[in-house]
Parts: sequence; structure tokens; C-alpha cells
Amino acid sequence: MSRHRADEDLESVLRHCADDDERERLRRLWGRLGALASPAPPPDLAARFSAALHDARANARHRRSTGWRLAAALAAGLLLGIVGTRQLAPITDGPSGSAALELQLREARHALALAALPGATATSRLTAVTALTPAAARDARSRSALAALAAADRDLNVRMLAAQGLGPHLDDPELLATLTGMLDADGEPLMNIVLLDLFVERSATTALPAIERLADQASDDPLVSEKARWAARTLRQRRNRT
Amino acid sequence: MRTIGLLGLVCYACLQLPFAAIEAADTTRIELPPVFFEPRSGPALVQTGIDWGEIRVAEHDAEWVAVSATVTPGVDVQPVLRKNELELRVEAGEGFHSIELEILVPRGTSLALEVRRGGEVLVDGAGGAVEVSNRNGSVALRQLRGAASVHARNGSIDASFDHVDGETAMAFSTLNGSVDVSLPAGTAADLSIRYNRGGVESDFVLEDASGTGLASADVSGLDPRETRVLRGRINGGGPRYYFETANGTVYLRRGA
Repeated sequence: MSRHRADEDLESVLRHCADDDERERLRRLWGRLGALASPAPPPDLAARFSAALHDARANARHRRSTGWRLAAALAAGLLLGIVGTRQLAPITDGPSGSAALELQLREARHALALAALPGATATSRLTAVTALTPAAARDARSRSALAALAAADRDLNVRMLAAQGLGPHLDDPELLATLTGMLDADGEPLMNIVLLDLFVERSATTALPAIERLADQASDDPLVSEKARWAARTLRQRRNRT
Repeated sequence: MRTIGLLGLVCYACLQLPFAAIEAADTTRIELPPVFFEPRSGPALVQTGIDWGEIRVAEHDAEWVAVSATVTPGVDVQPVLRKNELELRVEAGEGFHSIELEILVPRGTSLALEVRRGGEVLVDGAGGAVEVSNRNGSVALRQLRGAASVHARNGSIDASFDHVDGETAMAFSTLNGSVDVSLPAGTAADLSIRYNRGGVESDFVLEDASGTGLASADVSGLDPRETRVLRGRINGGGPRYYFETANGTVYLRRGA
């Protein structure tokens, strides 16, 4: 698919955008993506992007809860930050690995663009999360984008997968604080279970107060309370050992 | 086991409530005029959300959407059409109300369906993306030909794919209930399965499997508070398929 065709597709999507600001923001985003000097993406990426744009158009202008608006705004803002500076987090691998990493990050940027489009389907956003997860190892903004989706996406599955994508990076105090806040804010028992697992797996003892609060609350599900008590006990033991 | 049994009983009672109420109350039948999407406006989407009741969707060989509903007093259904997107807005007053919504859609239509309190979702054929959320009750999806993200907090998920979109991630999650997904034999995917109480039964051989779970795992005797995670590929790997249940079993079936 040519760049021209992709532009036409985007224009078609933009015509369905809710307001001028949103339209302008996405047009700017696409323009900056196009200006990026990066290795050529995989041959099928353009077709996938086009398909996802059609998908986004099919869902534009509705089904946007406040949370999803927030996630979209955050993700789009983060992406603009990435593209605006044209400088991702330093790639620390040697020259042989840098092209592959740049490609991975470019895919992540495209995924993020899709996730930021208003009305993208839950499965499109799930796909975006799976593309962002490997990039998050080296790109702070991909991690921030995952955090935004974990915190505010309207689809529980997207939130859970995004949170799990952040698991390996919980040594970052800000990320840990963000996920800890979700334990208080996200009322879904399954999300609580995912977060508790992450905190225990990463021995995140600073999350203990939030975990203890959850353990003391009457949860919708006994497993959550039981699991919170277990997580608190396990983390206390680890803290005492150190 | 007693806790699970009690939970099951509570879930069952919750599920029966809307249907008992709709049988007991005076109900009205609503038939909406056929709704046509704007021609050449792209892939179509139908979305709706109800508090209590049932959503049934099927495909038909026509270009319009047909909607009918059986509702308790005070409930109305308003179609809001935006080119290729149809929102069925269910309006109801205060207090308990229920609706049995039947929707016929053109082939290839995407769906976004939500039951906010309790009931059931049944889809018989969908060629687009399917997004379903049900707080209390089961979700049954048949003859899917695209991708899906499904969550049932208290209820089982039963999904059967005739064809899968080979590039799109999918997810199926439930707190209390089983996840039973049938995929075409040639499906290539990276699987990630998480479960607490229950196990995994798979017709597919998981390649490069890793984690604390085992296919056809017997987890009796293990601490149920620790989540088991099983990862592996089928048919060489592909998009990520994510399965999660806290109290229940994940069944992966090989279809035709």
C-alpha cells in the first residue's frame, strides 16, 4: 500500500473524528510518523495499519468512556512526545542490534498510534499492547504508554495485559507507584489478582500498604481477599529477611 | 470447594433473577424498522449495553440490521446510526428492568456488547471484531471469523471460531467460570494462560511450553493462591492469545 493511499485512509478516518482538535492532533501525529527516518517497516505493516485504520473508522466517535478518553489522550500525547523529539531512549545494544531495535520501536510507535485512535476496537488495542511490550524494555515512553492503557482502558483484558507488560520494569519507582495506585483504583477483582501477582513476583515491598488495604476490604470475591493477605504476608517475610 | 460451590449458587441465582422477573412482569414487544448502514462507509459495527437480560445476535444475508426486543415496562430501545456504526441505546427508568434483545446483522459486522448487571450474551456468527463484557452470566459465541476480547466476571465463556484473524491478539477472561475456546486446527498463536483454581485442558500441543502450569494439569495439592502461568506456541506461533480464570478451567479445543 502506498503512502498516498495510507494518507487517504487516514483522511477518511479523520472525517469521522469528533472535533477539530482531535482531527488536527491525529493529522499532526501521522505527518510526524511519516517524517521519521527509520528502517523500512515489515512489508505487511502498511496493510495491517490500513486495516486497523478502517477498523478505527468503524468505531470512531463513540464507545469512549472517560477512562478511554484519558488513555487515548495520554497515549497520543506520549506518542507525540516520542515523535516530536525524534529521539527515543538510548539504544544500548551494539550497532548490529540497533537496526532491529529501531524497527521494533517503530512498530511500537505505529501500535501506539492505533491505540490512540478514537474508537479503536479492544482487539486492536490488545494487539498494540503486545507490540509495545517488547519495546518497553528499552523505551521509557512505551512503558509510559503501557501504564496509561493499564490505568484507563475501558477493556479489562487490555488493562490486564498492559499491566503484565510492565511487570519486568517495576524497579522503576514511578511505574511501581502507578501500578500500586491501580490496586486502590481498579475495582475489577481479576485486575487486582494480576497486580498482586506482579508485586509478589517482583518483591515490591513498597506496595505493601496498598496490598494491606485491599486485604482489609470486603472484596467482591473471596479469592482476592485471600490472595491479598497471602501477598502481604509473603512480602512482609521478604522485607524482614532483608 | 465449598466456597466455589457457594459462589456457583450465588451466580446461578443472579442469572435467574432477570429471567424470572421478565417472566413475571408485563412485557412489551418492540420491533424497530430495519436499519441500513451508509453505503461504502466501511466495516459496520453494532454496539449496545444493557443492565439486566439477554443479548442475542445472529448474522443474516441482508444489508440491514433487524432489532426486536421483549422489555419490561418503561424500557425503550433507540437506534442511533452514525454512517456504519449503530448504537442501540437502551433507555430505562429507575428500578429493576430487563430486556431480551435480538439483533440480526449483515455478515462481517463487528460487535461491542455489554451486560452491566446480569444476564447472557449469545452470538451466532460474527465476521468482525467482537468485544463482550458480562458482569454476571455466561457468554456463548459461535461461528466467529475474526477476533474477540471477552470478559465474564461471574460466568463461563464458550467461544468457537470457524476462522481467526491471523494478525490480531485476542483475550478471554473470567473470575468465576470456565473458558472454553475452540480454534481451527491450523491456528498459529502464542498462548498465555493464567489460572488459580482449576486447570488447563488442551487439544493443541504447546510448543516451547514454559511456566508453572502443565497441559491437562492436575493442580490439586498446590497452593490455590498462587497463579499458574502457562505459555507456549501452537503451530509455530503468531499473535498473542491470552486466557485467564481465577476459579475455573481453561479448555482449548481443536476445531475443524
